[in-house]
Amino acid sequence: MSSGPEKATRTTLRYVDDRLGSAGFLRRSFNKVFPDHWSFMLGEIALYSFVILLLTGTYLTLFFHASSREVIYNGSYQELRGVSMTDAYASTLHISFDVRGGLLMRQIHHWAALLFVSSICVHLFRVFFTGAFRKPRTLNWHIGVGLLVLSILEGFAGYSLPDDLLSGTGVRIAYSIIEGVPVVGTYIAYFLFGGQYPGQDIISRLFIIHVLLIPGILLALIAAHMMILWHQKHTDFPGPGKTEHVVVGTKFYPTFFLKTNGFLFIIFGVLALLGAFATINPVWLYGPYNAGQVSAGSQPDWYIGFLDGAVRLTPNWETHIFHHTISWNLIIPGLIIPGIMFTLLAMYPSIEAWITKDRAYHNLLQRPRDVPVRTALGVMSITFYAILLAAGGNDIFATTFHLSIQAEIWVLRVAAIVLPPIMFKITKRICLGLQHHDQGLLTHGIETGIIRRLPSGEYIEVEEPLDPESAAVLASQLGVEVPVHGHHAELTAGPEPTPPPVQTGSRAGASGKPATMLARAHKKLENFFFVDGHGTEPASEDDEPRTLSRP
Amino acid sequence: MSDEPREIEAEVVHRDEPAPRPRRRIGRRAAPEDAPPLPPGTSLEGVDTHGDLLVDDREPATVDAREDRFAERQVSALFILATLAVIGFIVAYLTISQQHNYGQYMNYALGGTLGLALLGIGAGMVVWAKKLMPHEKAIQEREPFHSPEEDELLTEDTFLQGVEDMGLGRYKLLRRTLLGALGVLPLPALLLLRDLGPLPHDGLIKTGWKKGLRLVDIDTRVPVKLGDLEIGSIQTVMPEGFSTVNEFALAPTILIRFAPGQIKSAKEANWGAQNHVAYSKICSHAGCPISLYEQQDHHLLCPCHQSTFQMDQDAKVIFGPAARPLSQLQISLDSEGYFVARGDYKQPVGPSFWERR
Repeated sequence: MSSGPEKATRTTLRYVDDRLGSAGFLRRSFNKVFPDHWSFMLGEIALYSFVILLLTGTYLTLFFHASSREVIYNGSYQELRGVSMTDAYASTLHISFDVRGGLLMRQIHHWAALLFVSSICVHLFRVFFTGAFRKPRTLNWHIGVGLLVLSILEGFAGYSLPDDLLSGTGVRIAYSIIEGVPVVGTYIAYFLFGGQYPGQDIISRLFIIHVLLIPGILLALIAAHMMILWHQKHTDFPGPGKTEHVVVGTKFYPTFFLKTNGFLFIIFGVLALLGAFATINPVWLYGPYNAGQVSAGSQPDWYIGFLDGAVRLTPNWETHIFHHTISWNLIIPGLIIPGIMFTLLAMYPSIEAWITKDRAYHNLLQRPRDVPVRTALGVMSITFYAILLAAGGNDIFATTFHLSIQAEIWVLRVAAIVLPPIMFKITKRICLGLQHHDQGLLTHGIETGIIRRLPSGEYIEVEEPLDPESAAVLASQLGVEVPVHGHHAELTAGPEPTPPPVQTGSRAGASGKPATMLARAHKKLENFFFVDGHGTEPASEDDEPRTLSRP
Repeated sequence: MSDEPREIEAEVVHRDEPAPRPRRRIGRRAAPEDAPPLPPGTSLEGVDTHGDLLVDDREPATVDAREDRFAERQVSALFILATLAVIGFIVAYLTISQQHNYGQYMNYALGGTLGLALLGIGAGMVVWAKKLMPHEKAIQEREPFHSPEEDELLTEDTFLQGVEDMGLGRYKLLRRTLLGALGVLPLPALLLLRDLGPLPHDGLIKTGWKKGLRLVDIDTRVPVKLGDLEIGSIQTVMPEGFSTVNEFALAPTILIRFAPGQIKSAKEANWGAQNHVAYSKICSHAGCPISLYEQQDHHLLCPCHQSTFQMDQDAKVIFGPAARPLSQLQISLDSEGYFVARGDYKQPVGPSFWERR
């Protein structure tokens, strides 16, 4: 059978292969197996939001004027006619009211930006709580954290461009934080803004940062992220037939290809509907930026909210030394807190690997309950972040629920310090409880609620064993062997459950106590991770570090 | 079906040997027993099977011909819906007036039809994949993440040999001069950035207020005279003759009128005139224009981070992240009864910075 389309396909593929030798690569790509789980689509949402951002953003650049030149508005929006404003703001009004479909593109762009950052965060949670960041995927974790930071900066630069009253206030605060940096702050602020705030240059500079500089880096990093993913193959949850050495799922072509393209269209469709029916960032209501005005209840986009909240929560500390001023009230929340947060986030895989001495390859994911300390650390961090975010909206809460702002700030200040450790404890306990429950299921089976009396007079509850498939899944998740039911045997530990070997030699003193401070810290952290015995990933032996990929 | 991975003998392809044409086995209706347990790749001698499938189990999506036809119609209906939505988009674009209700109707119509079109195509594709394509379970071997040790060693040696050939270890002078030259190379780049903006000198402190300048309303530019303000009210003022607010971004000032005897600080009263005092509107914390005044207890609240200033006591901070009181502008009345500045602010206005004393 050599019909028209088939012949054309073969001719095309032959043409390419004759020049690139691509047949093997293409076939392997078509046959690439992708595991199936809903949580693996979170990264896809981020990727497709980015595609939609590029499409809508390019359209917007055709009409937007990144200029601080003062103009008198004369467009169709009656309420602002005759008002003096920057060309940036006037062209945003022009896009919204005089370009047909311009408002739609603006709103899709803004919604897509919110979805982009949101899906990156949720994707990050998935990767964190399932341990997908472990070796060999550490590099992709670092790239991912870079993408998160850049996407936040990109969003901030983007929503500042219309030069409206709301975003201008955000830029003012950013300027103040930069100005507050010791020694070089005022110089950086002056160079960035071309002089005293607000100056004439910031809009055009933010524009090139927003449409060229950061998107270029994002594009390169996303390409690297995808290529590494493609090369390393996807992780998967444990299950029957799933091992560290194989990947089980559907082939990239045609099933996955069709589904994922359908998903792209669905995301675009949902964003189009949001852009149509859910008004976002109505800059015409805020008015043009004016250094003498502010709108009450001004809120940034949600992903900047945690910074705004940190600025609100930090006490009014300021140090005066040698005729100089250090504005702790700006640089702690604006630079130090986010700096520590993102550094810890980026370093986490290395920190965990260092503590657990786990240098093995991992393709199978863990459930959050199976790694209580990591899960608890994650929940603790999210709690801290959520408190900052809540503080960013404290005036909204205060007016909605008639609370005192002062009381609210103090409650949140205390909560930011006290609540994360409490959440750590609670989460760890819940994880251990769930593990215990799973082990019960495995050794005893499901409780039926049926009570029987034995001839000896003893009462027992009838327990129904798990079906073998579920038992196998559960056992592999817990890292134990499937027990023979009915024996009520203690669970035999799976591969390498032993706690990591105590370091001896130069790092340990004669008494067996670690000698150096680093070694002592390591010991403490190790206990922290392993203190409940059944917890984290068992560490692999040091002398055989890379066993998993060598069957 | 087997859960165990099967071993495949992988061999290196020699490009000059003609590779046999792969057998075609794409057929969406292949029955499971017809499907070979292993892809034909295994039977192709001399073809690189590296990365091919170990197991490729497939079941036809539908067995019943009627169900099959129904599913096809379902997908087609979604694609037709998408087409209709695109037509709707075109009609809406051409017929609805952009001026109607600030363009909201047009936005609803364009976005609604575009969303429907995209959702129709997307949903159609997903239903197609789920209902019409064979359900498959493919298993693939994971390739090793790292190269064989000899390969790693060879690469390291190749690199180190290059270092050796270049003589970076031997030619000390060369190495140091190269580092020196590369070390100073960023300097031109830094210099090129110098003209991004002026150096921060007195621009940090000067606000545009001068001795004798009248206080004019920020919006109407009308000079303020005694009696314009009610007791307990505030007004935002600028120095007379200001070009735009944004060019005088540190100048916005709040004029407050107190009842006689309400001002608790003698200095504050002295710097004011006739129970009127003038303070910078730019918050000493992050530079937002402060705007909320509570008349009863004389609190001025910044809406950005809720710093609160006690306006009858030298604008001292009573709550929030601001560390310094607002700066006060010395004012007096001129011969015609208008408020004038007695000079620029004595203390820098707005947020703190390193050079501030």
